[in-house]
Amino acid sequence: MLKKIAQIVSWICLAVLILPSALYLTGSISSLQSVKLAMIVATVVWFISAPLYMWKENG
Amino acid sequence: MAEPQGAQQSSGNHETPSVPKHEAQQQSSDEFERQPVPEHALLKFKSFIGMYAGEHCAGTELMIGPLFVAAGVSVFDLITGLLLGNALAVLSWMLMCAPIATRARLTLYYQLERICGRHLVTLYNLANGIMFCFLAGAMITVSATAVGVWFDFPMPGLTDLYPNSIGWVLAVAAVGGVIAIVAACGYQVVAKFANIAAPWMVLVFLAFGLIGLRQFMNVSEAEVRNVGDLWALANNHIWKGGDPLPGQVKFTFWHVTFFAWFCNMAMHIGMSDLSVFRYAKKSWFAVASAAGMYVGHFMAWISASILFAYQLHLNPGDTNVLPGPMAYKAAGLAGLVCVIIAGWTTANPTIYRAGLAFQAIVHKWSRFTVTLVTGALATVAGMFPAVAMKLLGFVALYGMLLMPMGAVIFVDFWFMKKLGLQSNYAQISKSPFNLAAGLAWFVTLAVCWWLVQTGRIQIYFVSLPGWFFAAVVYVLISYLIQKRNCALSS
Repeated sequence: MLKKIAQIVSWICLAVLILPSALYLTGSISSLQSVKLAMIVATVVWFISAPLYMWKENG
Repeated sequence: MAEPQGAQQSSGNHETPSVPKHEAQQQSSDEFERQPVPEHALLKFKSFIGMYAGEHCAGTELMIGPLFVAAGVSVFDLITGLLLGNALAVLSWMLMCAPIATRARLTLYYQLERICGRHLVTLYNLANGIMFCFLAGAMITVSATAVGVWFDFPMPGLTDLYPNSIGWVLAVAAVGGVIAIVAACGYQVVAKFANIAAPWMVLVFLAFGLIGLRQFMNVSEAEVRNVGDLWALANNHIWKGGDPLPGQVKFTFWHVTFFAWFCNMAMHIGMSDLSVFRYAKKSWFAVASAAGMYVGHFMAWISASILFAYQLHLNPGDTNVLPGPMAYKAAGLAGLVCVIIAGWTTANPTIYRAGLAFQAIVHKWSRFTVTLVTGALATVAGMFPAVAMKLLGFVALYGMLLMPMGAVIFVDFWFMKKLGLQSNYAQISKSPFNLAAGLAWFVTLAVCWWLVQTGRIQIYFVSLPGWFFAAVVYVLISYLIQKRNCALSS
């Protein structure tokens, strides 16, 4: 169960990591600061959630 | 550019593509080191996809992309050159390396030992180890540029060859010291961490490009509604062509093509990845290398080059290629973390491998000591920005150095018997040093070096004729040696 939740959270993180910059490119987001903030939050949560299921998978 | 890998001594190199090469190397296993990989141990196609995609999105990508811009590349030359060069790299894996790997199913080391003899392989390891040290040094340099964002000290410029401030030396020493200690103590932990970081890192690289494009659209006030508009923006503002920056070689379509093709020459044409593809069920599995080429050596290079082009656009006098500050301006803290992790996770296995290579020579030293000393050497190399700032040339040199051995393996496997000669001659003659292979290597290097130094051909191109030259030299000298030995024995 925990593994499933971690997987879903980490996938959301990857989406949050790339979507703001894509929206920034299209002009839907005008503030680069918001993009940077979203990216660092997604980064932190990714490195918390991903190891919960990827650590064992990798050996 | 992925951290390359060379032949390893027989004291512990087992590579399994189900985990990255560097992690597999760490696994203390005697499996299949000196025997073909059996049927039951073969791996599926998807095992190779993730490995290549992750390994070729490395810290050095953050240097190579900007250096293309510094070399005055145009948008057409860059895009078409990368498309073609990377395709040629994939084909090299598919048609040169993998067919031998899936037939012989041996490690590079054992394959080389059978052909060249133990002493020559030791020499090969030494050359590999030294190059690994410099490459790891460049990765440490990349990571250290991130430290400069926090601490305000002068960082090296594009034309700097030597350290230019105490702050820089201390930053590299700190970063390199940590990397070396971690590589010696907790290698496997970092290898695992690198796997976790890989998908995140690929997306951060992509974000660099997307953000950089928007920034260009903002400053140039260009309207981008379709591909044509995007091409015009790229052509007029990002990759404008023209003269390179002072001290840089002008890059044309052919330079980009050959660089993309040969930057991992040690792995495909140089045959290092025999050790990896021996686990592939089919030789076409090598098409998985496209994941690495078109993610790392296409998207990541383009993204990183956009960051530097934007920096030049804002201030043409600011020619410093410093991944840390560039990434920070584009993506903030996440960008900075990406620079540190990209450099660290790729320097780690490179230092480890260099240690393995050196351990073939200093048997009495422990793995820990060798890795620590190797890390110290790499750190010292990293203090000198020459390697990182001249990375395009260094990578070409690296390929040139190991390419002749790839030619030797290729010819020995496919042609020796057809030519009436003995393959795996060192093993059969019980020789620790196959003179034919040794001379093919040394003479080819000498000729290539002479061609480059006298300006007859640039280092980016010399490995192509060099490969054929090495193959011919190997066949001719093998013929002379084997016929003479035949005459003596009869």
